[in-house]
Amino acid sequence: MSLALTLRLAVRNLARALRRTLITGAAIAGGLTMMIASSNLQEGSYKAMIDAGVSEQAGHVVVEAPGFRAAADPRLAVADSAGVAAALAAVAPPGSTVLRRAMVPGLVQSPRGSSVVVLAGVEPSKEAAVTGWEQRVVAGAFLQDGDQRGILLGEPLAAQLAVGLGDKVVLMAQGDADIESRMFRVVGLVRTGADDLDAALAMSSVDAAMELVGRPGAATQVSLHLPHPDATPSAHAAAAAALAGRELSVLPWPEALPELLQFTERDRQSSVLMFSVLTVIVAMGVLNTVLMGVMERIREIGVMRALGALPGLVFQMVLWEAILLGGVASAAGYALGMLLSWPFVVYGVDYSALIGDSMEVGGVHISAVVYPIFDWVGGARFAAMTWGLTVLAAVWPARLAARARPVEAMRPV
Amino acid sequence: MLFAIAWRNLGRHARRSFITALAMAVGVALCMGSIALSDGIFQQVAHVMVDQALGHVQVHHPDWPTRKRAEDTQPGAAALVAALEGRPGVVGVTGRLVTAVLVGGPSTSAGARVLGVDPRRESAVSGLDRLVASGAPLGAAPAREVLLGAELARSIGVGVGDEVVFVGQGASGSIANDLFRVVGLVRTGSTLADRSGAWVHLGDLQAFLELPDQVHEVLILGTDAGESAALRAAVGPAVPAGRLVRTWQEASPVTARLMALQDGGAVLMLGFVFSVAALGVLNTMLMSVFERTRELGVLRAIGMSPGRVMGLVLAEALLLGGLAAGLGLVLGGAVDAYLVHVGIDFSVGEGKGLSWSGIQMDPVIRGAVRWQGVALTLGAVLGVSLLAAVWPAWRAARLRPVDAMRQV
Repeated sequence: MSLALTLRLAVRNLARALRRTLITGAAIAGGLTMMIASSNLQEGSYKAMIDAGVSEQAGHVVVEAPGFRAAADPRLAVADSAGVAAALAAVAPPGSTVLRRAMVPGLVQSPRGSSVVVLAGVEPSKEAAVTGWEQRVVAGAFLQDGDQRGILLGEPLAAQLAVGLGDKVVLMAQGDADIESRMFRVVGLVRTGADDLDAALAMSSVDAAMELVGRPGAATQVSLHLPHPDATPSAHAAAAAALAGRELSVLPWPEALPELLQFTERDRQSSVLMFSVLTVIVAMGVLNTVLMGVMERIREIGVMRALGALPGLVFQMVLWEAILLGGVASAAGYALGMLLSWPFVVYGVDYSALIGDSMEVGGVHISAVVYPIFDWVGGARFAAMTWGLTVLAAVWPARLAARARPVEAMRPV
Repeated sequence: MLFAIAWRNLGRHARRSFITALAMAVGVALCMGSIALSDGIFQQVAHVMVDQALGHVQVHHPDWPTRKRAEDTQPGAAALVAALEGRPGVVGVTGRLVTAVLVGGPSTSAGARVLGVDPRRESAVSGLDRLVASGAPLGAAPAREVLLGAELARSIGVGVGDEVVFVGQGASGSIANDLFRVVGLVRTGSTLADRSGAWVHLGDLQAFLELPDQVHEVLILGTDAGESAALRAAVGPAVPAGRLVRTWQEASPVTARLMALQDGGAVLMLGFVFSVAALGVLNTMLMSVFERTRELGVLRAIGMSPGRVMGLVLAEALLLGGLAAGLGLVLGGAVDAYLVHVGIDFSVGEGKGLSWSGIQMDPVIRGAVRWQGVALTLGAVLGVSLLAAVWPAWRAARLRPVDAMRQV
């Protein structure tokens, strides 16, 4: 009875000052809408970064020789890479891919020039299925399985070396004792959109790259790519068990890409801080509205008290106004934020006019078209924060109302 | 008189006015802080991307931009640099020769992008001397000394005082190799340069590549990156025919667009914060007009024109905005002072900063305060206050005295 009465009073009070209620509600909902829409966009870019990092630089589970990570020395490689790959494939869930890769820093030379590259060694058809490299070929073709002489070059790198399709280049890299070199033939040119990346991009088969540094059959990295990232912990445990006894480090992706993960965490923290301050600004607006509402009704509240309403009822009544206003406005802001994200989730947000076709963030290159994701849980957290602060802002005015002494409250005209 | 009445009106509801102003002041502080932080980042990015890598104006062989080939050199380098130095508005000129080599330590080697520079002139343009993190800068004369990017040195296991072998390619296409002594390690702020950069004396590299008195690029620094077009015009007469002279914006449109984001980002941030804050002002002003309906009616009845009534409400909003600006300046000033002197620790991994667009940020990012950022914020708070009061003011001005005075 008492709750129903307070609720009715609260609703009536909100409705009586409808314009003020709507404006305050719009401030709450508007702020939340923008927070949720921009948070969705950020989460989308984090996902793009992590997807790109996981698929191109690591895998959901990564197997390396101990020490390779720190030294980036391709001679510290997984020797029996085929055996390791088979062991991983045996324990991986269906739909997974196991890739053997090489990263060999060196120098590429043509008769007309030379340039610094990190030669990426891949298993062509499997790699293309995971990373979509084929779509980036602008001339010639992607590498063929079994081709030990073919090489892909970034388009600007080929221009600098004055080579085209079918021309020969020499790769030089550090072997065990001497600098080793190997001749390759250019089979294709690629463009990722990131100029600095394209100017140092060379890709061959993993076996050719590892032969160059005197480690035939080896790979600097064997990576497991899962159809769904949620399976990472169990796949990591299974992989570690299957490879127990071998001198190898088996890492889940958060450990294989620690800087990328930290980058997204830092970025997320700073925007949460900003959103919190913004919510405080909204809450101060609410404080003002509720306070004004109490002040202009102080006479009425005095009459209520004189007729026997307890301070608790008055307190609850004012607080319920904020609970209702904040709740409805937060729900509306949540819905509007998601709705606002919708077209962008479908069509993406195109930054290419500002920054070119691709951008480097936190060590990975992602497309300049960023697709937000619906972050239902994160959005709900922002909505709850907004609602909570709205209610908190009403506590002081509610106490002020509850403490009003009937005689004094009824005195002002 | 208008402002005196407006001030009294604000004072009659001191608590309400104060809370409204404080809410906007928090908004001002938030904007000032985040703009200072972004300006700090931009300052660092501009230094690495423009001053170090591009200069303000560059002179190249016409084919250099599309191909960057070893053969696209400019002869008569010393004379060209000297002539450019004599032009008005020029702060520094540096000629660079560029090549790629395998640089070998005791047990391993790695690819390196080598820049041949005149140490004194290069330092005047890119501040190379100041980027030396350990060891010493290059000597003034060619002595086969090399500065290595800190990450590069670590990866090949060499330190200051060690010898390294360069294996590269001379101008004729033949293999060239030579020994250099590491005199210092460099941290530039560019991920790429730290991982694969090496700097030697221009004379040494000209000898190594068999390219006497030639350079690939000449970078010219003026006083202001924004005045690059004027600088290009000023140096034009000193450049021989058939060379390509470009401002940094022409040389790297992507960088130019990135730099243009600086103010755009600030405006976006202001729009975001103040569109929320504006609703607070709107509410306060509406309330203030409604509760004074009777009083405003009396003012109209005793002869105040609708225009002046509107002016009265707008003046009140402007004062409120001014109060918010003043409070915000204090709060925001404190935030800015903290950001400039202490900064925010964004380090990831082992003391490394964030990386973005190839720039390795400092682990602790410090803010930078530009008057434009502060002015923009204060302008926004005043503008938004006025704008939010237009509707309430319009309503107040349209009141009919008779109706207004009838209300209790």
